[in-house]
Parts: sequence; structure tokens; C-alpha cells
Amino acid sequence: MNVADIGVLVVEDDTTDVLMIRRAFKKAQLVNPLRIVDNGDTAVDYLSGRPPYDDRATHPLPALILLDLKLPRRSGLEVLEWLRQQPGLKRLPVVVLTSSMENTDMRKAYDLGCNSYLVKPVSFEGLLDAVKALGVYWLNLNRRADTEVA
Amino acid sequence: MWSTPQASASPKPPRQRTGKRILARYGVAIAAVAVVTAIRLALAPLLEEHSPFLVFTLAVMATAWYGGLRAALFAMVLAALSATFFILRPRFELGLSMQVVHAQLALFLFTGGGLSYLTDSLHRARSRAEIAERKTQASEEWLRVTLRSIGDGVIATDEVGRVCFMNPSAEKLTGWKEADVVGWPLREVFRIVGEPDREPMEDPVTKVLQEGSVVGLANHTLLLARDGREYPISDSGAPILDDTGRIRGVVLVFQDGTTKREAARRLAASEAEFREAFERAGVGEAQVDLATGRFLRVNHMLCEITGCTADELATMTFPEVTHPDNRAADWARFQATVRGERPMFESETRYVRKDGREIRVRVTATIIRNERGEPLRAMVVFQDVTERVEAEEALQQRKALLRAVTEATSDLIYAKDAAGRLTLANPSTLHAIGRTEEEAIGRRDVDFAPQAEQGRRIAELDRSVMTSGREVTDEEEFGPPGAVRTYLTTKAPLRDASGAVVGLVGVSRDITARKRAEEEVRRLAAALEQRVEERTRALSEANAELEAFSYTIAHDLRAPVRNMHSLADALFEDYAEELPAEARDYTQRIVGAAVRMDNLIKDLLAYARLAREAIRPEPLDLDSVLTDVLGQMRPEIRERRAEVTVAWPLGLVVAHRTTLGQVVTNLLGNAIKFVQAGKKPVAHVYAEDRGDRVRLWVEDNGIGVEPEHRERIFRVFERLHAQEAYPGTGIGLAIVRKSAERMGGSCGVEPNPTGGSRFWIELPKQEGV
Repeated sequence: MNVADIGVLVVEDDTTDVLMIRRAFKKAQLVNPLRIVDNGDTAVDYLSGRPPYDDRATHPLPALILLDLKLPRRSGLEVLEWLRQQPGLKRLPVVVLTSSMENTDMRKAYDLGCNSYLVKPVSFEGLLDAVKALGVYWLNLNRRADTEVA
Repeated sequence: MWSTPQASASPKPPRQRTGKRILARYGVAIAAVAVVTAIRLALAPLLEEHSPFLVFTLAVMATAWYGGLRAALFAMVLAALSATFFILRPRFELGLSMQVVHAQLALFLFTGGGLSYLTDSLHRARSRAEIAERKTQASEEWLRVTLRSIGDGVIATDEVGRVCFMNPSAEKLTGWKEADVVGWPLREVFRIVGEPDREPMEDPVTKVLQEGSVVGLANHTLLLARDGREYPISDSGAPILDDTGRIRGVVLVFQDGTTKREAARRLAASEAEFREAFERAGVGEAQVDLATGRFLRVNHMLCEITGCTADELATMTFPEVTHPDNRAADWARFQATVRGERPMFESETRYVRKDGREIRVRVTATIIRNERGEPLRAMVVFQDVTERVEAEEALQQRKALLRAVTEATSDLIYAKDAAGRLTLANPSTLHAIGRTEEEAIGRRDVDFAPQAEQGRRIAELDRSVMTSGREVTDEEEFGPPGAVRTYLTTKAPLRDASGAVVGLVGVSRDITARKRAEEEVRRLAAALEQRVEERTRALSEANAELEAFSYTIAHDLRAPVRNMHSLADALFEDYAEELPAEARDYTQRIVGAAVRMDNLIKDLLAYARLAREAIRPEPLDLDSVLTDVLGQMRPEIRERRAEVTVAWPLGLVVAHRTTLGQVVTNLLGNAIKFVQAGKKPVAHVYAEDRGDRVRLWVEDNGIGVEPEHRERIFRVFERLHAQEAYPGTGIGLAIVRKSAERMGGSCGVEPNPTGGSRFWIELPKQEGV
């Protein structure tokens, strides 16, 4: 399997955060393609293959979703809830990457079926460590389930 | 006893009639002489002067018969003068012519005197005989009546023992009539037997006739009457003797012994009864000497009352037992009774018993007097009335107490009879119904109630108490419209000795003010509840807003800080070689500021979470909590080259794990942070058992906390040092305090005796450990 097929969908509205995530991926020498959407609705459109994301060749399903909770239009939790109800998508691994350390957010996210919950570190060093760990675990070690409807 | 009745004709005429009598006597003489003179003068032509005095002897004899001797002699002189004057010549002169006439006169005087004497004597003898006859008749009559009316039986016999007289008592006892048995032998009529053996007994008459003397009967003699009845009798027989001492008969006197014997028996019984009554009387009794007051005779009860024996009382006097205060007055009154100034001695007085106990005694004394009214001794009755008097006094006291209580209380206290009529009402009750006691007693609530409905309601409650027989507590209303007062009333049935309900007792308390207050409280409570509801709603809205606010801070406020940090880092890393030294310093300062800002936000969020979120403490092992904390803090400890020691084991508490972890982290972080520059931080953690709580101490060798700051440092944003010296947010200890409070514990700080501080947090200990 080609690394290019193991893409990551980043759902993040903060451009600086997006910049830093890209930088961290680069510094961690992860070459997996990053596809960025900046709000919840767009994320749903992308994942469900609606236009302008109806071409799976240019917009393939990701191997991992990095999901912020605080998003315009549709919150990360709503996206997660929707995702877990979609027959072809419900087994996609989702890592919540957010600034919220609120217990309520954490509990809800896990209840809705997120696979991991990371709090955005204030320093880039922290983010880099997190991204390295993500790459090692979720993109290399973890075995993915297929996306067939079963 | 009784004297013989006077004979009907008295031999002595009354004196006052003596003068008339003399006149009559001598009148007879004058009249007789005058009549004879007249007769002689009439015969004068025939007789001439022959036997001039002879006819006058008739006048003298007549006078002697009717007028007595002296009148006869007077008549004789008159006759001599009359004959001389009227009949003998010279007529109508008193001279006498012839010698023979002198002789005749002398003979007349002599003969007349003798005839006068004889006639008078004859007359006297006859008068005496008449009087004697009358006397005998009267005496016989008297004897007969006496014998007939005598209560004893009397039977007289002749000298051979034949009945010749029986009186009615004897008739009654023997059952025979006198007329039927006169002439019968006595034993036919008077049959007697011995009482014990019923053997016939010798009849007493025979015995009297044989012995010639008085004979008494043996005791226990029974007389058998004709009708078969038997009478115990006592009798005696006596001979009837004539002047010569010859026995002419026997008189037998006998009595019915039934009543006498009965009387004797009764007397004896009465005496015994009296003695018994005296001895066993329920009251003390004594006979007392009047002059000295000495006890002559006492009964058992008096000994009981006085506490003395009978022998001791015999040597004592009546005043001696009296209480000294009453002695003189009682004795004076007793003496007044003895003198007859008062009919009876009565006194309710105090006595002192032999054992010194004071008792109340009611004493009454009557004076026993002889037939002449002279006082002999006193009969005194003593009653111990101590219990009664004390009970009366106690009752009075209780009544007074009850009265005082009912009068003093502001509660209404009253009693009613079965018909609901007031029988008792204290002043508060009278005040409430606006009546005097006279107006209220005997009347019912319906008569007083300003509103008819109130009276009916009260009467209804009364009925329910009396029919159920149980105490009832309820609220009652009384008063005119606009001034109705509410009473909390308790009514209990009043029962008589047999347990039947005869009325009720009620106590009513005016709770109008309390009711109003309760009403006010209810109104206020309702208003308060509404306000609380409003406030709660406002609060939950505010809380929701606050949560949104916290979320915004947590998420949005941190993002730019993080961006500052990340971009400064990126700038520093990616363009380090192109930047001058000063620019590199600036980027580092941007990074420092971003780190402080992020810490501040994190601490603030943690503090806010503590206040907002529910905390459920659970049993925890302090060792495991501390192990976790030390693990998390290892980088910091290593960085500061600090030495942290723990006195394992620390013990078991009830707390919230995450919160407690935060607390310990903050305390331990402070302990190794606030140390003089260049000094090796040393912290020691240990636990102290304080009964039902555990105190966890964190000891350091740091800069310490001045006493005036010990309270301040636990407040939010309080900092004692510049960021450059000891960086911090000023929230760490505020979180410690809030956490301790939320977990039901407390916290504090003390100076460490070896320098530095000792912070502590106290938590509930796990039960059963």
C-alpha cells in the first residue's frame, strides 16, 4: 500500500494551527497527505463524497481524522456523532485534537466513539511529540478496518 | 311512800267557826229555856206553883245534848232565874218566898248539873263511836284498794290455808279469778315448782302455818299458771296474827321475776356493752377528775393517740398532754364547763405525743353529775383528727395553688357540666367572654358567643369530647366580626368517681398573634420560594452562560496564545541563523509570555471547574495518589534537583481522586519552587491521624510565609513575589482551599520549626480503618 493512500483529514478552522500541524508532520518526516477542511459541514461533505468532493480520486477517504471540537457551523462532536452513524465510515479512526480540557467534552467525545483525545499543547515541541506519536501508532502500527458496509 | 288517806269526817272542827259555834250553843240554851218558860207559863193555871223547876230539866238536857256541858249549865242558871222570875211568887221578882222553894231550887240545880253531865257524856260517847266507825270503814276501803292496785300478787288465806283474797296481780299471774277460788285450798291455785328440776315445792302457806314466822321462797321458783304459762317468781309468806298473837291466816306476796330478771340481765349486759364500747371505741375515751384533771380511766384508743400506756396515763393529767400553747385556754374552758357555764366542753386543739410528735385532736367533754346536780367527774372523748386537719390544710393549699395558677395564667381555664354550662372560669376566661363570674357561671357558650356560629362550633367540640371520652385539641374562634380571636383549645373529659363523664375541663390559649405570624411566615415563605425560583433560574442561566464562557476561554482564548507560542518557536527554529541576538531574545520573551498566559488560563479553568462541577468523594489510598503525583512531577523535580521524601504509608481517606491529585501537585510544586536561589529544595510528605480525619503534611525548607500572609495566600490571584523571582498564577493555593472545602476537609499553613513552611490538608478518614 502506498503511503499516499494513507491520508489524514484535518478538520481545523485555525489556519495557524493548520500551519503548525503541517510543520509538525514535516518535522516528523511523515509524508502522508494532509487534506484540510475548516468547518464541520465541509468535513461531512468531504466524508460523504458530496460535491465538490465527489471525486474519490482527488478526495479519497482518509485513514485518520484529526478533529477539532470547536468548529464553525457544525461542531466536532456533531461531526463525530454523524460519522459513527454512517455505514461506510463508522470505523474510521478519529483523534480529537482540541484546546478543551473540559471533562464534559472529553466524556462526550469518548461516548460518541472517538479513538483518542489529545489536548493541543501550547508549545510546538509538545505538538511535534504528539504528531510523532500519532504517525507511529495510528499511521504505521494500527491495522485499519476496511470501509465495506457490513 | 304514801300516807293513809284522811277519814272523811274530821274530829276537830275548823277554828274559824268556833265563835259561831259558841253562839249556837248558847243560843240553844236560851231558846230551850225560853220555850220551856213559855210552856210552863201556859201550864201555870193548871200547875200553879207546883214543881216550878221540873219542866226546865228538859231544857237543860236538850241543851246538854246539842250544846254541850257548859251550855247546859248556862241553861240551868237561866232556867232557875226564869222560874224564879216568871213562875214563883212574887212573880216578876227574883226573891223567893218559901223555904221549900229554896230546897226545890237547890235540888233542881243539883239534878240539872248531873243530868247535864250525863247527857253531854252520852252525846260525846256517841259522837266518838260514829267517828270510829267511819274511820274503820275508810281504812278498810283503803286497804282493799291498795291491795288491789299493788303490782305484786297478794293472796290471803285463812288459818287452814283456804284462799279468802286475791288481788288482780295475783289473778293475772295464777290465771284464776278471785270469785272462783275463794275457799279453795291454796295449792290448787298457787302451784309452784323448782326451776332447775321442776319438782313440786312445798307451798309456803303450810310452812308459815307450821312455823308461825315469815317465810321467803327459794330462788328459781316457777309459778305454773292456770293457762300453762310459767313465771319465774320470788315471794314471801307472812302469818296474819290477831291481838292475842293467834294465827288467823297467811298472806302470800309474790312478784313476776321475768321483768326483774330481764332487767338485771340487761343491766349486766349493758354494763358489759358499755365496758366493751368504752374499751374498743374508735375514739379515745377517758374519765377525768374535775379538780386535778387526772385520768381516772382510759381506753385503748387514747393510749394509741397519746402514745402512752394506760399505766403512764394513770399518773398524768388531762392538760398535761395538751400542747403548751393551748393548755391554759383549754383548761379554763373545761373549768367553765364544770361550773355549768357552758353545756359541753369542745375543743379542736393540739396534743404532744410521748414521742414528741404534734397531733391535732378534737376533744369533747361532758360532766357527769349526781341527782343534786353536783359535778362528779368528766367523760372526755378524744379524736385524732391530724390526718383530717392536715388533709384539709393540704386541700386548702392545693385549692389556693390551683386558684393562684388559674388566676395568674393568661390562658383561659374553665370547666363545664354535661349540659355545657360553665362551672368554673378563671379571670382570663371571664375577660375573654366579657362577663363577671356571677354572669358567667351556669350559662353556656351559646349565651356568650358574639357570633352564633362560634357558639355552635364550641358546643359541637364539647359534645365530641364528652361522647368520645377522649381529650381533644382543636382551634376555636371567638369574638365579634373584625375582632375574632383564635384559641388553641385542649378539652379533656371530667369524670366522677364511677368514671362517668360529667363534664369537661378546657384550656384555651390565645394564638391569634401566633396565627398572624404564621400567616406572615407562610406568605414570606411563598414569596421567598418564588424569589429563589427566579434566582435559581437566573443562576442556571448565568451558569449556562458561564459554562459557555469557560468553554470559550478554554478553547478560543488558548488558541491565539498557542499560536503566539508556536509561531515564535517556528521563527526561532527556522530563522535562528538570520536573526540578530536581540531578536532571538524577543522571540524567547514571546514564548515565555505565551506559556504564562496558558498556565493562567489552565489554572483559572481548573478553579472554575472546582466551583461548578459536582464532586463525589470516594475511599482512596493516599499512597497511590502520591505515587501518581510524584510520577507526573518527576521532570519538574529533576529539573529543580529537589529531594522529596514520603513517610509511607500515608493512610486511607475519603476524597476525589483527580481533585486530591491536583491539590497534592500544587502543594508539592510550591514546596520545591519557593526556595532561596541556589538552595537544594527538600520536601517531606507525611500523614497524621487525627481521630476521624487524616492530615496530610507537606513540609519544605523554603522561604516560609510571614504570619500576616498565611490567610491571604489561599485567596485567588494573591501573589507575594514577582514573576521573575517565583513565577506563578496566584491560583494554586486557592485551588487547594476550594478543593479541601469541596471534599469536606480543610487546609492551612504553619511555619516549619526547622525553617520553611508546613502546609496541610485535612480529609475525612475512611471508616473502619
